[in-house]
Amino acid sequence: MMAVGAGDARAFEQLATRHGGWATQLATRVSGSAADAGDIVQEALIRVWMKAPSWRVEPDALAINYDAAPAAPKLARFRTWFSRILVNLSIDQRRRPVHADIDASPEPESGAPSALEQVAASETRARLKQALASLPERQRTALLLCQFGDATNLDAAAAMGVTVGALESLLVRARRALRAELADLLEDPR
Amino acid sequence: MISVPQSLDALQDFLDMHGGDPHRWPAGFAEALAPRFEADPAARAMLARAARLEALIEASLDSAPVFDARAVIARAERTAQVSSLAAQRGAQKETRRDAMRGVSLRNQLRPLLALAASLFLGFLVGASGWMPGGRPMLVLDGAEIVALAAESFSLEEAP
Repeated sequence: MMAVGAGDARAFEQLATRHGGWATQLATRVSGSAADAGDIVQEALIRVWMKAPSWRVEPDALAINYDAAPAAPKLARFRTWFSRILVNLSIDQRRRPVHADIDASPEPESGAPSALEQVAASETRARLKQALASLPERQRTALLLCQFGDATNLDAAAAMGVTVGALESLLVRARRALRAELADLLEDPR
Repeated sequence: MISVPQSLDALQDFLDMHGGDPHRWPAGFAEALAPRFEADPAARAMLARAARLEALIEASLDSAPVFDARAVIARAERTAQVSSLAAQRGAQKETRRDAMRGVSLRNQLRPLLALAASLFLGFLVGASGWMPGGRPMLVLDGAEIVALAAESFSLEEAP
């Protein structure tokens, strides 16, 4: 980050290459759109580039235990900061009017489940999406963040800029609402 | 020392807080709760529902596109350069605007200064009692003014 702050384009490329993959996954989850993820990551990277000269290690980030190798804390702090940018941009993107993305629709594959099974699966998926969409913004974001990769509740709280207690309160309310909404889907199918 | 949820309600709260994947739970909880799930079918069903909810959520999400590093970096760098240039131009415009603001303020103050100067001059002249042509000032009180007015009125009305 120091090199990026000094205007080193190669350092910026390295940083973007290293973090672009997970950043795209995170943006897809929180924005709910694979089509917009690239734009969100690009915008986040621009912000990193522009703000890098004034970037400082946040004192509260030192308290976060990432269970990482000794060389990783700086990376972890950058990751938290970058996650926060991504989450905010993804939420902004989600609030914009939705346009149907034809390219994002899955193509039927040969050897795939039968038409009936596909319809049932797509109906379940649609219900899930609707149930997720009906959650308040912060509850949905908390839920999607804490299930992302190997993120802990601590990481998700840092990315949202809230305390762990506040995050867990959001999680309890979100899961409770989903359990009530999707009760029939959660029963053991056997 | 960890506090393991004892009642089913407490267990449900724990699962709502930490999800249905024991690998994500805070250290020690998976081991501490394992015998409970082994022995209690209701607790086991609760865990299964929590795990299924997570699996369904994951299945409902769009899969992320592959990160096209080269394209995104190129676009980001280009946009950042444009933004930086725009910021520089913005700063230059702001400086010019400040300078213009200074000039405009001076222009606005000019008539006020002129007015203040004339008032001051008027006060000086009034205080000195100076009259053009050196004639003394006519000083009348209220009764004299009324008498003079009545006199001039009667002169005008007289046939």
